[in-house]
Amino acid sequence: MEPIFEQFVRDLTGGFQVPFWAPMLVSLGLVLAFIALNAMFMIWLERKICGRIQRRMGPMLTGPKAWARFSMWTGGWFQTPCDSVKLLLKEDIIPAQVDRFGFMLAPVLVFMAALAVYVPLPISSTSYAQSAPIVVAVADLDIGLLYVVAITTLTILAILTAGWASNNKYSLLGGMRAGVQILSYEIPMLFALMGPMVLAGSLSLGDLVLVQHAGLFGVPLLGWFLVPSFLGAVVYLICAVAETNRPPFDMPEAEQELVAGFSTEYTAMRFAMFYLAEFSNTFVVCMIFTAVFLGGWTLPGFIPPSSLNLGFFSLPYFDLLAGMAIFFAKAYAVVLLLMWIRWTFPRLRPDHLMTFGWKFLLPLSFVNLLVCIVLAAIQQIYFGGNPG
Amino acid sequence: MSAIGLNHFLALGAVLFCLGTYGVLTRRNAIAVLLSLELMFNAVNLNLVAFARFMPNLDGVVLAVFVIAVAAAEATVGVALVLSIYRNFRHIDLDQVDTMKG
Amino acid sequence: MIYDPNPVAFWLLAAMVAGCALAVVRARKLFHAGLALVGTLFAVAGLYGLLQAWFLAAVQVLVYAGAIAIMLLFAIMLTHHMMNPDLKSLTTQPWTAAALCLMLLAVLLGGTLSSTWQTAPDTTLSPTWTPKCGFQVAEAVPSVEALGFRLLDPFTLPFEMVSVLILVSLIGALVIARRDPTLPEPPEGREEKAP
Repeated sequence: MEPIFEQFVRDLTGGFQVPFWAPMLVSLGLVLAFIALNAMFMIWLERKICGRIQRRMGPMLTGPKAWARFSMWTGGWFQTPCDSVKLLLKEDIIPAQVDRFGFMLAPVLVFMAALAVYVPLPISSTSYAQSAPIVVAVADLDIGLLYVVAITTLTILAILTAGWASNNKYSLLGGMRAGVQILSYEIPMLFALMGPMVLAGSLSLGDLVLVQHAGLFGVPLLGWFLVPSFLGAVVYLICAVAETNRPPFDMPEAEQELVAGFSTEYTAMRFAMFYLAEFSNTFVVCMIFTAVFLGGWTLPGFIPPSSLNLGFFSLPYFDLLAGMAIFFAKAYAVVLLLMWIRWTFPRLRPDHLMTFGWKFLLPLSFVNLLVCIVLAAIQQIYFGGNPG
Repeated sequence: MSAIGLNHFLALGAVLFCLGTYGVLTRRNAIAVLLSLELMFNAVNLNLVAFARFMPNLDGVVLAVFVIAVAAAEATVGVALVLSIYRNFRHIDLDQVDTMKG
Repeated sequence: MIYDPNPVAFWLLAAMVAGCALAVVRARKLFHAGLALVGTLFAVAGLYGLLQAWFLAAVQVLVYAGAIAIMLLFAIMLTHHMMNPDLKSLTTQPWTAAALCLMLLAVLLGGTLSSTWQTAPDTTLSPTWTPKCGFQVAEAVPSVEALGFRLLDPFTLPFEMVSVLILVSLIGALVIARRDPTLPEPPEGREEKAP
């Protein structure tokens, strides 16, 4: 991201050299703004889809009446800002017997995890004013895939701390269940992601997308890792739903069983941190799915020009914008799929959940890895290896 | 401050190792001893990786990976033992797990 | 490009390592010691990143902080009464142990700082991407491919043995921690005694 940002500032100001800490701060600001805005949009979308699946209208009363009158789908878009303000104005209660250090640390940790996982996610690539196409991510790490899985461990820690520090048997039970659930589903998730890693020969998410663009066995249409690693994609999606504690895997947060699980004692802004982190993690998981299995910001056979010539002026960074549009369209499609799953299936019991993860998904992910290794070997031997 | 060199990392490893030793020697709770033991493992790993970087040799990092794997195996068995002791004695105070004493 | 670790990063991470390690050995509440261990592990992972062993840093967070430390936290939660003021983590003979450890530190520091280590001058190695093929033996930057080649060529036997070791420890832990239904239950009420 640094070369692009520096080039952009140089173009805008005619040669101003940014200090070394500026790209980091700008990335941080952009990611924070994105998390907030995206959460607002996604919560509204979630409630609309929930309503429509349950044959009712969802939020309709907030926001201008014109939007509501236009269609059932566009009403009530101001609901989430109103709810956020309500949540911010609530009283922040810290019960007397909690462990104060752990109680205050847990929301911080969960938000740290939610923020840190955005670093290697590539949303586009651009070659405007650069010598070679550069992947647009906060930092396209060499070990992007492994980094993303490693950061989920911070979420486990945050939930365990929240559950223990609340000094409440329901919270402890919810925290331990959530911790065990996330830990158990992390392993099939890692193995499902190993399939594309073997096919691409790299752990970097930008590299994975570029190899998908180049195609499998020379055919660009088969390039998306959804095709050779289909089992892995399915396993990854299921594990992703379990990782983010979404229904049908939301036993740790089940209102009917555990009050609110590990977040029972949390009110106002601290609860908002958990809620925000959950929605942010949902979107991150969809972003990873898009980058790894759906070809990221690329469409097969289509390379957008780096600046679009509109006659009277040329729009710079066009490939960056086009890539971003494609990426977010795919990511939101996956988000819609996850929301559809959420409001359709009943909740899984904890023992069913563990059996499903360990005895069904894990062997499936091994099978997927085997298939991907065979395909990668064929690609290597007969088709001259993967590019890049 | 001079440039950060191999000695800085080795010194940090030594400090971490000694803190871990202090923990193993003094703590009464069995799990606290396991936590301090992990500190010692990490000190060793830090030394290995520092050597691997400063005298160009990849074997230090490979050995560090093995040390992490072995530490995982050892922590697993350690926790199992602690759970077994808890089940029999109802506490895990190492000073009082002494039924073999005459 | 000569390898020059950023001093600010090193001292920050070193302070975090030392501070969290001190908290591990001195915390009154056991759960805080567990959290401090996680902090130490993250700081050490940061130091691995500073030493350009990125893969090892990710493995450290994934395995050590994300599995071993979490397992130890679970053990704490299962064997500890929740808000007990934690008499059990008081220490025995702290001053003797501190003296011994200081002597150990003196010996270690004296030994390592006074030796001249044969480090190679760092003029030809690039810290960024190394090519996928063309693996070089004297690689200082531990890229993932180089590690993979090392694991398969000189270190095949340890690699296979470690997988057997982990399997053995898994089975062993299950057998040790399993509740034997034929044995009588231990007597209730033998609670933690004050020192």
